[in-house]
Amino acid sequence: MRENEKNPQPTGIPQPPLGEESNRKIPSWFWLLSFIILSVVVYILVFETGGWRSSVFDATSLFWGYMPKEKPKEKVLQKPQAVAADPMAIGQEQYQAMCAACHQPSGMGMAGQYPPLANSEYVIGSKARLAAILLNGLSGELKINGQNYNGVMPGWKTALNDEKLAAIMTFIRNSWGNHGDKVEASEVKQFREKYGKKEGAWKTTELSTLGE
Amino acid sequence: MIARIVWVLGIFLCFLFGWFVYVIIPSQVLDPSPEGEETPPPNFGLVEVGQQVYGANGCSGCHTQLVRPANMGSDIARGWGNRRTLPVDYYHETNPFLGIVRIGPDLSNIGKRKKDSSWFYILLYEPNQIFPGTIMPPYKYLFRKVRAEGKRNPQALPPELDRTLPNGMQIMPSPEAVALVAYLLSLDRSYPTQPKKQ
Amino acid sequence: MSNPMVESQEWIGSGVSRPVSLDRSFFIPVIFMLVAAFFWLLVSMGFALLGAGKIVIPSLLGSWGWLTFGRIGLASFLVFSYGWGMNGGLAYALYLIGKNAQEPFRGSGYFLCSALFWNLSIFIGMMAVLIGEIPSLSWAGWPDFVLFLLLLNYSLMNYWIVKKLLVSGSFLRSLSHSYLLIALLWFPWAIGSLFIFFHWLVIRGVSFASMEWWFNEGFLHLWLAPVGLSMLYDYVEGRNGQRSSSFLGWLGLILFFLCSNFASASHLIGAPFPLWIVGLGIAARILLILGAVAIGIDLLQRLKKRIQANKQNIFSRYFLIAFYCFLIAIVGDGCIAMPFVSRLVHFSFVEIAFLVLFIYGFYSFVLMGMAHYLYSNFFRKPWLSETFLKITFWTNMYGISFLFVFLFLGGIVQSVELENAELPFSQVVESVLPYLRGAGMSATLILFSQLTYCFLLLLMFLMPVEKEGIEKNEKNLSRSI
Repeated sequence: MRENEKNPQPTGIPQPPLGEESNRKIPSWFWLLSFIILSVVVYILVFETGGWRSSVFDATSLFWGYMPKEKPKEKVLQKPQAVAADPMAIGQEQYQAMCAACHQPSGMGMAGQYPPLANSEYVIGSKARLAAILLNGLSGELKINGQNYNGVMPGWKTALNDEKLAAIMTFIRNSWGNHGDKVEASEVKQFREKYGKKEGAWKTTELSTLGE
Repeated sequence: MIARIVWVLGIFLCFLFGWFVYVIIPSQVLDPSPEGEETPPPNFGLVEVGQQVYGANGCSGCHTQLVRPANMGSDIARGWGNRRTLPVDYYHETNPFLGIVRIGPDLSNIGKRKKDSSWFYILLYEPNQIFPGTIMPPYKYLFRKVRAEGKRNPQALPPELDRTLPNGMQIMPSPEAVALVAYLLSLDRSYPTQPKKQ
Repeated sequence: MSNPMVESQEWIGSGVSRPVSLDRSFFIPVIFMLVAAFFWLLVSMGFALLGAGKIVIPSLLGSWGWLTFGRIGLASFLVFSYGWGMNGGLAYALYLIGKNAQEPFRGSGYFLCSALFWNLSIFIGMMAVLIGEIPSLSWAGWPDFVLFLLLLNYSLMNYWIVKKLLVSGSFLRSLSHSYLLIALLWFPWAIGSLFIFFHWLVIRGVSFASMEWWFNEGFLHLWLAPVGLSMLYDYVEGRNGQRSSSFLGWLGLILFFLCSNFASASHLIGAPFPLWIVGLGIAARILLILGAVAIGIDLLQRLKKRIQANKQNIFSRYFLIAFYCFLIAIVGDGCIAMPFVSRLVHFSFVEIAFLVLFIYGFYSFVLMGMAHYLYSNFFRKPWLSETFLKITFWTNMYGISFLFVFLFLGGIVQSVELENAELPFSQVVESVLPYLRGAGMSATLILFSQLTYCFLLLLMFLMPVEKEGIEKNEKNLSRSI
């Protein structure tokens, strides 16, 4: 390739077309290469595809990368220690992760879009109603502290377990000047059994039927 | 004539087969609706808006959002996640931003690593402030300079970031920036989950 | 009936001594598409240069959202692929059909019209990307209404070409026609299904990523590659005598085509996909090496003969470089798909390096050779400056070599350092930065080369045409357009 570029002169007298015989030569190394590649391909397809099951995501065979077993175990052991026992702390962490995007870290919500939690009757009031909203979500027009809101809140029953839901409820009922009592995981469990089967979010018109 | 038909049919069959394997089958088998109590939180409201902002500004051109298993890369060792990401982690997203190249760090669990929204605002406004010498471009167009009425807004950026800022003004994140940060804070895929057994 | 590319000019060539017989009704749309292609190439390189500038000075033009790094990167990429790649490819398709046509192109006006709208839709799409209407970040990065416009205009443009190809049945005998048919049939099918999925949001969750890669891979290996290979085969098939089939050529075509449909998933390694999807992708990509090697042996034998039989000229240089880039890119892609390599280089610049080699080193080079050939035929007069052509060629050549080497080395550094989990990510980026700057310089070199060529083209268009040349050489089937 280099030679041809550096040498603009014709490399010989133009030859008449040689016919196709010279094209047909297949070098012998091509067959060897085909054999190697085909065997690799068959090996991958047969042995390294997790039996063609859609539930197999990991393999520790040499092909996919060997993994020493010790390291992940350390991580698993560390994890439970990190979990704080204080429900307010868990609640705060979960609130920051799940709720603060809309209701804001200050609990004040966003005017006209997301209602505040601070000093809201729905938060301080009935536990059952609060749990029902948290589990299934809420949609429709809502009036809180004199302001109107019309949005959709999703349900969290598939995202959060009883402990976390209880911690969040405890946290929002006792922050930003709210004073409510603690919510136990066992209570949430009961509420989940009671309300959890409903599909979709509650309508605001249904709110009065919720709770005790 | 028959040869032509066979040839063209063959071409289309190949197209169809590849399409079936990579588009139709994944959409059927990799869409297990989340069950149980610990599944990804729904995307909605600000988070959903923030996801669109993330896409619109081409963030995924430099940042990935996937954690590879420990035997396929150093992602977990780097602390980018405590486990590999699974289809269920992206269940609520219409188009997950898996990413193509890592010019910036992986963001699958950024909401787990950084929980302070003002850190994100400073990073977006002036990345050099947080990572000196970084090639991340500043996103100043996501911020507004507004007159401070009375006391300083808690969301406003520290005034030292802009030397030319006139007195009585403050730098406030625009609604897009608020949504984007809400989305980034929501990125936490560290909840325990198991690949669903058939 | 045809006597393409048997010109015996000096390497730069001072015109085409034995021109291709292409009716004006074909030539006008072909030249229109080519001019549009070069326009988009400049736009795309301009964006790329701005992106490279942003790597040196991150705050460059940072106050405008529509010029942020993520958006211009995608805009550059899309404009390059659809504006330059597809315009040029479609011009070639029309040329290939027109070369053998017995009658003038009756749909010439329709074609020109839809070509105009095709370019308009690319422009609309580019603006949509710049203002932030980005559904994804790849070749499918158009908003859904642009996808629809592209599909519509593409079908209008190519209906006639595909019909001609199918009726003549030449794709059964000639590899160049066969490759072209694959490319032309793939695009409407893929972009149509993409439009449906985007518009009605049928696909969601991780399957979106697999669909995205399916489309990307298809665009690279079922559109750009077949068109590029078709050009190479058209060059070597040249005379009718060489059009007879060769076993390796057809084996290569079938292997390449079959595997390209499945190779996409090798990019999904480590992503949330079951092993069988990734494994199938890796297996197909390794098999793709075999296809490329078969094509390579076949093409090299013929290219050698072709180049021996003729003097060196600018087309054969472009074609030869493109051919080697094709081989390196496909073999390289296959090698980095192996899990023990990809655990290091996945998400690094090594992948980008091979991608650049494929779309610039291979496709653009072969397209530039073809475009130069078509322009030479169109102008029918000596090129104004041989120096300019030499500058174009050598800066292009050095630009792509340096670009590849810088990206590749930068990618190696990045992958090795990323493997060391103790090293903070910011330090990894810092050590890659010099290479990225080098790559930016190389991109500047390429832009310079394209500017030179476009300047020369402009001069050629403005200079009066030598009338005698036309009268003597052109075989006008019809005067009307």
